[in-house]
Amino acid sequence: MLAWEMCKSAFDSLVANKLRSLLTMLGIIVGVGSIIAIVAVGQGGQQAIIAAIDNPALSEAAIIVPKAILAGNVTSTADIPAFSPADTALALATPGVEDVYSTPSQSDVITAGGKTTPVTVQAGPSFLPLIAQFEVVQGRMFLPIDTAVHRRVIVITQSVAKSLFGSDSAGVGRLVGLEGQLFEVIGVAKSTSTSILSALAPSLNVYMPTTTFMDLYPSTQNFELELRVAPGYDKNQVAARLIAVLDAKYHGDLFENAAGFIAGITNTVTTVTGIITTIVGAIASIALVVGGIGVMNIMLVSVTERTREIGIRISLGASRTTILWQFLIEAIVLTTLGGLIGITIGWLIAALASTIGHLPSLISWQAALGSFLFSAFVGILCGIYPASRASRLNPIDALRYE
Amino acid sequence: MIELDGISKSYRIGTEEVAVLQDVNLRVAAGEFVALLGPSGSGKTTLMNIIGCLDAPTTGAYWLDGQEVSALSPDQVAKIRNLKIGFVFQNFYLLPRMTALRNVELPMVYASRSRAVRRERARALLEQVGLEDRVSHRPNELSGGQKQRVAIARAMANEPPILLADEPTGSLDSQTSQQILRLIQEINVGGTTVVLITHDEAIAAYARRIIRIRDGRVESDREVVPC
Repeated sequence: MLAWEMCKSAFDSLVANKLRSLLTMLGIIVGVGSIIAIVAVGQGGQQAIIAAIDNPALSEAAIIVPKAILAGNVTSTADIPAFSPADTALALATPGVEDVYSTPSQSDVITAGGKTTPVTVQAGPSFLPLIAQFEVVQGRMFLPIDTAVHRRVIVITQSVAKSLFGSDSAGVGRLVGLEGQLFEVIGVAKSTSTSILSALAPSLNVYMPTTTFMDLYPSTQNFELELRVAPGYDKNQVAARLIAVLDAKYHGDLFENAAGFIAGITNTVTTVTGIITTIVGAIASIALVVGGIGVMNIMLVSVTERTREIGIRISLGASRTTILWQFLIEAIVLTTLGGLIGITIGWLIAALASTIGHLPSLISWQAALGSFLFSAFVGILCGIYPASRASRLNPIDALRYE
Repeated sequence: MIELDGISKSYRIGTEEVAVLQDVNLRVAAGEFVALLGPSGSGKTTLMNIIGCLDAPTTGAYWLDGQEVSALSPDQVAKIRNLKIGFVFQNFYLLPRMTALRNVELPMVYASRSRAVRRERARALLEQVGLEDRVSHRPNELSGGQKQRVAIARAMANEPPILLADEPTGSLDSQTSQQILRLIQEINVGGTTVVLITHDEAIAAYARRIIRIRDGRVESDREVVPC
């Protein structure tokens, strides 16, 4: 009950000095607010980067690539073993492999009605939307039959439609030119990616069946085999078996499962962004320390100003412990209140940043709870010295204090 | 119940030792109304501070209800101040941000009384001192006499057996002073021991026993014959 009375009296004295209390809290508010905002944007950004790297197709497919590509020290494509149609047949014959496909791509220029625009031509199977993260919003996607008969049909992204036909929903049924040959636009695609990268730079893509692509660019070398694994099989085990077969065929330790490689990159990104967030958060917590010093300063002033009050309270029977708690609670109320305001403001900043800057943010309750407890801790740390000074006052001197 | 046994008090000012009280022996029984009379600098306030457990003597023993105060822990002494002693000061010493009611409640807060009990008792006390219509006023909205009434109500909040009043009328005009002294007399009639500190003979005359203090010593100690 005494604790409740002391909390109430702490609030009373903070309200009595509204402006001073607010200014004192400001340091804590800024400190907690910036930590919350930084951690939220940091964690959100980390997830966005991972989402951009971590293609959902990978969760279903295994991608076998020559090791030299992942190593990144390729000087000439001639040094890399490319997959031949025989390798595809080999892959299809591997137990557990349901489907084999490849998604080669090529930079080119597309023309229609005198307009040209640079695009990336991306080949793939009929389920390419799943892998490349788009959906066909106008017309249709090409089908396995289109692939089988090498049909010259393409799906263009909305940004391509916009630059060629002036509207991001136009283009279905129109003819366009690529490499001097005519293709029919059968669909317009919209990105389904949630990554920030796709929002910032909409892709100028043209999608077409792999067989059509090989006809158009016959010199294309295929450096990847993507496997769809039958239910009941582990994709990594199936991939390992195929890699062993391919290594034996080409006489060397030449191929690798890219899924494992990407998982490695994802881990690295998590570690790096985590470190960055921690460092920036640590810098922000300096504000919290400065805020804490402000609280200690103002509590010392408050103790001096209220020396007479302390004397009166002692004469009325307050024990040293009671006086200590009174000032300690005041400091804790000051910092936790500042902490709560800071959490709110930090959350608002993070929300604002994600709306304006297309930066995803992620408010974790751990960060909020952590900041709250930390600000309470700062209150105890910075309140204990002024409070103990108040409790050790000599009642007679305190009463006589002017 | 109040027993001072060879009490001395000295302060060190610079390198000099200044004796404020020298070998004071005093005994005040329950229900007495005693005035400590002396000029300023005679040591009467120091004596009151020792009786009120706000200060400790340099030498000598102070027994309160058979307990030697210097042997008690700070928390036990705080409890004595809370429950056994009520203070009334010359400058009222009310807490400026609190209403009259909250001021009167404060000693009961430290005694861990429930809110309902505190409210009821504080109202009753303010009514007794004639301030039932000033309950939610703050000290700066009250006159000097009203402030001292609030202070007296606050001093009596935990029904202490002893009331210590240090120049309670020092800041008041003579008419208000009379009313305050009557009130203190009434409290004494109710059974509370009263120790009144003053430099004024006329005020000391309200007491039934006058102890004269001069230069830190008891000069005389006599009963007043009621007239």
